[in-house]
Amino acid sequence: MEIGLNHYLVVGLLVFLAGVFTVLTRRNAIGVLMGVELVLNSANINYIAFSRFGTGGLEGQIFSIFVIMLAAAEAAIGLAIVLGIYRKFQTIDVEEVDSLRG
Amino acid sequence: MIQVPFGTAEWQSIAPFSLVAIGGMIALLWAVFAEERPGTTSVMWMSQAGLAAGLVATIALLGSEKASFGGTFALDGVSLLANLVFLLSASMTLFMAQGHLESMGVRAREFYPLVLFATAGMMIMGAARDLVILFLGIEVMSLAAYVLAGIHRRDPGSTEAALKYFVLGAFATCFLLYGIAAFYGATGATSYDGIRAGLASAPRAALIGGVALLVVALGFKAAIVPFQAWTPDVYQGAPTAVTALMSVGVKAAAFVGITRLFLDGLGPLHQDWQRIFWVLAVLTMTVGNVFALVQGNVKRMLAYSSIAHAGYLLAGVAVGTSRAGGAVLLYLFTYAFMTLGAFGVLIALGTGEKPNDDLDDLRGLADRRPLLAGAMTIFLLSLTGIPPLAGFVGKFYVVESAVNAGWFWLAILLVLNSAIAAYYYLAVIVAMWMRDPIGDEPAWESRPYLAAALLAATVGTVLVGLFPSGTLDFARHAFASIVR
Amino acid sequence: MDESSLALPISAVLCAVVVAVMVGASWVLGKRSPNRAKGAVFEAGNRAVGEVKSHRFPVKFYLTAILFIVFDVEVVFMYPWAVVFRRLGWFGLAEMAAFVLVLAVGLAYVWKVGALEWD
Repeated sequence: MEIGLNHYLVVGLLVFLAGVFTVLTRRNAIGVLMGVELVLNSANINYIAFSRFGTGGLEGQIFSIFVIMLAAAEAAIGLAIVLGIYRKFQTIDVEEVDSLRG
Repeated sequence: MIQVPFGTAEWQSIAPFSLVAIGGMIALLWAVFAEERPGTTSVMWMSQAGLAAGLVATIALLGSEKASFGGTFALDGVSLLANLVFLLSASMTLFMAQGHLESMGVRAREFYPLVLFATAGMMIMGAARDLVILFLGIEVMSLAAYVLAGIHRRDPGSTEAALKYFVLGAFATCFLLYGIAAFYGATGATSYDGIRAGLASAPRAALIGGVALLVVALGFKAAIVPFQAWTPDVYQGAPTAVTALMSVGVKAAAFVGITRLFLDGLGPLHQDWQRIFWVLAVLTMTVGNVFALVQGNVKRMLAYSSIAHAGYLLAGVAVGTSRAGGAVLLYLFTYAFMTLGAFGVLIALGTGEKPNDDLDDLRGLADRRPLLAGAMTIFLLSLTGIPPLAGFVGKFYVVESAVNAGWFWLAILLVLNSAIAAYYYLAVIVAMWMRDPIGDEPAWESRPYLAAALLAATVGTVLVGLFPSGTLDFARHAFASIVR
Repeated sequence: MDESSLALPISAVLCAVVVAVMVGASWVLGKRSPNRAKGAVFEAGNRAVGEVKSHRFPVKFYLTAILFIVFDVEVVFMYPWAVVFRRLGWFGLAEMAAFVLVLAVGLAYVWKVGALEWD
C-alpha cells in the first residue's frame, strides 16, 4: 500500500490527541510541558505532510522550522517558570499550586 | 542569484516594530552592563526612547497604504492606528511601573526591555497578513508576557500567575498551530490573499475545523468566554503594572489580529464565524459582568470587567462590516486610556507591604487623596459608558454599527450588559466618596512618573470622549479597504 | 462531497476511536497495583536509588541545559540559509548577520548576568 497524505495526517492526529490527553491529565508541570511539545510536533508532521503532498510548496517545511524554534524558546521559559514554582511551593504539582482565589 | 524583493515598502513596514525591538535590546544590554544603582531611571528612559522611536516612525508613516513582503505584512491605517494604541499603553505602563516595582522589591531591570519586546510582538500582530507572521507576533508578545507575569520572583502569587498563564498560553498555541495547518492543507497557503483565493476549492470540513481551532486559540489570548478561566488568577497574581499591560496591550493586539484575520483573510466565510462570535460575544459580556458583581477585590473586579469589555469588542467583530471594524479600533483606543488609568490608580494605592486593592481599602479615598479619587471616578464612569467620556463613545459606535447592520438583538444585549456593569463600577465610586475610611492611612509614597501617566490617561479619556470623530473617521477609512 | 473533503473528519473520528479504545482497554484490562516505584517522580518503573533530598543536583545543570536548548536550536535557521547562501548574495549575508547579532545580544546578556559561571 502506498503511504500517502492521509497516513501522515492520522499519525499527526494521534500524536495531537496523545499530547492533549497528556496536558489534560498530567499533574506534574514537566509532564504538561511534554504534552505541549507533543502537540507542537504533531502540527509539524502536518506541515511537512501538506508541504510534500499538497499544493503549498516549501512554505510548510519552513514553517516547521519556526515551530521547532518556538518549541525550544517555550520550553526554556516553561522550565524556568517551573523552577520558580518549585522554589516557592516546594512542589511542581499543578493542582497544588493554587493560592489565587477571589 | 535570487533577487529578494526588499524595497522602500518593506523598510517602512518593518521600521516601527524593529525600532522598538532594537530599543529593547539596547536597554537590556544597558541594564546589565551599566550596573546602575537602584532607584535610578536610566533603563526606563532608554526604553521610553525605544518606544518614542517607534512612535515617530508610526506617525511619520500615517496615511501610507502599502503591501510589503508580497502582501503578507501590511502598512495601512489599521496597523498604524493599532501601533499608536500599543506604543501609548506600553509607554504609560513603563511610567507606572517606575517606583512601583522597587517598592515591591522587584529589582529586575529586565522589566522595561521585556515590555518593549512584548510591544514589538503586538505591532507584528497588528500588521500580519499571513498566519505564520500572526503566529510569530503572538509568540514574541506572549513569551515576553509570560516572563513579565512572573517578574516578581519572591511573590508566590506572581510565580503562580506566570505558570497558569504559560500553561494555558502554550496550550492555546497548540490549537493555533493546528488551525493554521488546517488552512495550509485546505488552501495551500498561509497568506490571507492566498487563503481567500483558495477558499472556494477547499474542503469545507477542514475550513470549519480550522476556523474553530483559530477561534479557540485567539479566544485564549483575548480572554473570551469560555476560554477565560486563566484571566482572573493571572491578572490578580501578576504585578499590577503587568496586569495593566496584559489587559490593554495584549488584549488590543489579540483583537486587532482577530479583526484583520476574520474580516480580511476569512471574510468570505463570514456566515460561519459570525454566528460563533455572536454567541461568544453575548456569553463573554454576560459572564464577565456577572462575576465582576461579586468581587470584593478591585483588581480582580477589573479583571472580570476586562472580560466583559472583550465581549463588547467581540460584538463589533461579529457584526463584521467596515463600520464595525472602525468602531472596534476606536473602542480599543478608548479602552486603553481608561483601563490603564484604573490600574494606575490601584498601583498608586499600593505600598511596599500591602497592595491595598480591596474595595474596603478604597473607602473614603476622596477624603484622603481627592485627586486620585477624582481620576478613578473619571476612569470608572468612562468604563461604565457615561457620556461624554471615552468609554461612551467606544460603546456607542459599536452599538451603532450593530444596529446599522441589522443586529438589533446584539445591540440590545450589549446595552443591557452595560447597565449591569454600572452597578459594580458605581459601587467603587460610592465607596470612595460616601463611605468612611477603615483603618489608618497607609504610608503612601509620592511617585511623579505615575502621577504623570495618570494625568495623561485622564486627559486621553476626556479628550477622546469629546472629540472622537477624527479617530473614528480614520479607523473607518482604514477598514474600508480591508473589508471586501 | 469528494473524497478529499472526507479525509480529515474521517481520520479525526478514527483517531478519537483508536485513542478511546486504547485508553479504555488499558483501563478496563490493566491491573492496577500502585506501588512506590510507580508513584515515583521519574516514573521509570524502577525504584529510585538514594535519597534525592540529601544530594540534589545543582540547579546549574538545569540552567545550562535551558540556555543550551535556546542557542542550539536557533542554529536550525542556518541550515536552509546555508543551502542557498551563495545565490542570496550580500542580502542573505546581511540578513544572517542581523540574526546572529540578535543572538549575540542574548549571549552578552546571559554572560553578563553570570548565568554561564559555574560557581
